[in-house]
Amino acid sequence: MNKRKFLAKKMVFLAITLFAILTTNFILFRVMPGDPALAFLPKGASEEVIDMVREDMHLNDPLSVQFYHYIIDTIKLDFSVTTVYPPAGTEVVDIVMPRMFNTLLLIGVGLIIAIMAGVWLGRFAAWRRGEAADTFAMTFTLLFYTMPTFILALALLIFFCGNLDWFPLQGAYGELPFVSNPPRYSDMSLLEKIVSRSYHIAMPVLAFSLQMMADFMLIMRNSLTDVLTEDYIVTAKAKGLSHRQVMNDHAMKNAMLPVVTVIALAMGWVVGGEIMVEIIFSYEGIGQLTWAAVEARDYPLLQALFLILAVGVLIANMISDIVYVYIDPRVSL
Amino acid sequence: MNWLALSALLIATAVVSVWMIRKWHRDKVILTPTEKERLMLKLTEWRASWDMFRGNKLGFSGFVILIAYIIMALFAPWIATVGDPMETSNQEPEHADWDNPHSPTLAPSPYTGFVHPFGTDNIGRDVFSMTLFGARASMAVGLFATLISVTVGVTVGLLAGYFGRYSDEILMRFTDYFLVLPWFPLMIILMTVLGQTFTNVIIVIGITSWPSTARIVRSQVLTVKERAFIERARAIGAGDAHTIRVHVFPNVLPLVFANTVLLISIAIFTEAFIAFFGLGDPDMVSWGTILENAYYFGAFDTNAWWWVTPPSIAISLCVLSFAMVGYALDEIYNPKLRSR
Repeated sequence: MNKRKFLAKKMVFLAITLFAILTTNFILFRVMPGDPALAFLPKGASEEVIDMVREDMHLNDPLSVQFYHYIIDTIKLDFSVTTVYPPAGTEVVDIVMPRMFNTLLLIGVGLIIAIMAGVWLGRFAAWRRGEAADTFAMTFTLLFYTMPTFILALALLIFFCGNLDWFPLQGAYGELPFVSNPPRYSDMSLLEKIVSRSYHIAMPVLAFSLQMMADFMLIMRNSLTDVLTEDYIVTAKAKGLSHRQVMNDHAMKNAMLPVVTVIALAMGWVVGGEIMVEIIFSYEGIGQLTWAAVEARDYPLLQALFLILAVGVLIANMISDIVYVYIDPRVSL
Repeated sequence: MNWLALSALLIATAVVSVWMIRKWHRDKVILTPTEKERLMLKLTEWRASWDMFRGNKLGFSGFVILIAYIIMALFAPWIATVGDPMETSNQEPEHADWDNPHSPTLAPSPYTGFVHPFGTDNIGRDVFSMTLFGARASMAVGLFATLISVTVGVTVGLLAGYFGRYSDEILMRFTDYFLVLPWFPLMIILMTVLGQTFTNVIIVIGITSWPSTARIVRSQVLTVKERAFIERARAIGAGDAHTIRVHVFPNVLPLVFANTVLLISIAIFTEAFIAFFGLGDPDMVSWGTILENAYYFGAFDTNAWWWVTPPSIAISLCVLSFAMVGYALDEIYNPKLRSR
């Protein structure tokens, strides 16, 4: 298949999916119970004020016109203002943006650790298939793979942050290790900022990446055992190539393909697990904000967050498609 | 939840009796010789699968744990030390020498006479009995949500794989779209829109977990479709509906079966966290609700480990055992894995 053609097809699908997500997002929040205009206003507002707000939010227009306005506003990154989330009436973008960095940091660090460790462990287990090391690695991963993320996160929170008090209980930054009265975050030096952030992020990343790691390891191992039974691996061994050469030059290249696909498909799960971890560790990111928005029934905020999360997953999928093009020998020029 | 079980039972009996009556009208006997032969063959086949399953240590131990869970769910009111833990009269009241949550004790409480082997929670409910009753919620969700998800998934997969072309393209793009949607926020939003009842929990889990089944079924249908016996069946004039029902579906079934067990474990896990994040039915005892209460009423600050540990272990072990059985079945039924 042609590389360009493949990518073009993917892009068209991406555009269609994006439109479908926008539509879903629009419809979901139109069937929500309650009048958005009333949620926006203080109790006991007069009839005229309510009408004015409704007109301003295009609520009096037919659905098609509302949809048109919704699309236009989204393209302009105008997500309206929050109705409940304090302080009410803030631009949604201003609330979301600072938290975006925290979330991306957590996902990025967690995913990199999970992918590297998972692939390495899977490779380790596959090469020693059937040996004690393999059995041990498999039991270990099966345990973490099936343990619900929120229970793992809770256990880590209780032991390491609660009982032992080695790590901070909440937040994305602020505390410093071995310092009882840390300065304000904005007053810290760059080094202190980095230390503070790593101190806070350590436990959430551990909780988040352990399960992902187990997942990736299982797939890596299964995919590698598939490849290692192929004839060309026997040939490679018979040629007298070393273990390392067989692995790196022959086995890994083909075994990586399904792993990339699975990592791409797992993005929906990644986001879900990340939200749970954020909520339990009170880590100020998008996930925790989603939670706060649900608790407050703040629909404009929730609508924007859902869109951001969905688009995030979509972008991750697109990236993995592009990576796929470069590592799959069948898709080439 | 009771009416759910009842209606499922009713539908099952109706289907079976309609089938029996139609068969009786057609053949005038219960089993024709051909059918007897076929049944014997099926039985040997099943026995072979069972032997293979028995031989798989991991899968079989998972199966044993599962049986224990099912017994827990079915006989919860009789095993429990407290009849129904949600009943106000069965809750341990606060007294001078009895404060809730109370640590585990095997001596009967001096006030209500109940034994609390796992202690009590903040309002005096017995944790042991609640954990037992929690198995009911999990099993019900596992069963019904997976039923919805498998029905939708198999239908989409069969239609897409069998008819190919446009229907395949459209249905698979639809499936991909569902795979891309971030399921956790979607569930949060759906639960807020639909309302927090136990039935809605089941529906929401069902309609968000079908895409993987659809993909597996489709890929299997694609290989089955090319086999010679399908062509022969079509050559002697079998219609699409007949071909799918009699020739394609039975060949896809084993893989679906293995996938279903894995789906159940996912459904149970999903129910637990929906309940944990306070989106579930507040009147339903479930492991997630127990954990939610423990989290919000400070079990973690007061070190009330007996309130947290039983439901956590129950969820983890339940999910683990379903997953172990699922992998074992996958190894037996998936031809790609069997030879290794």
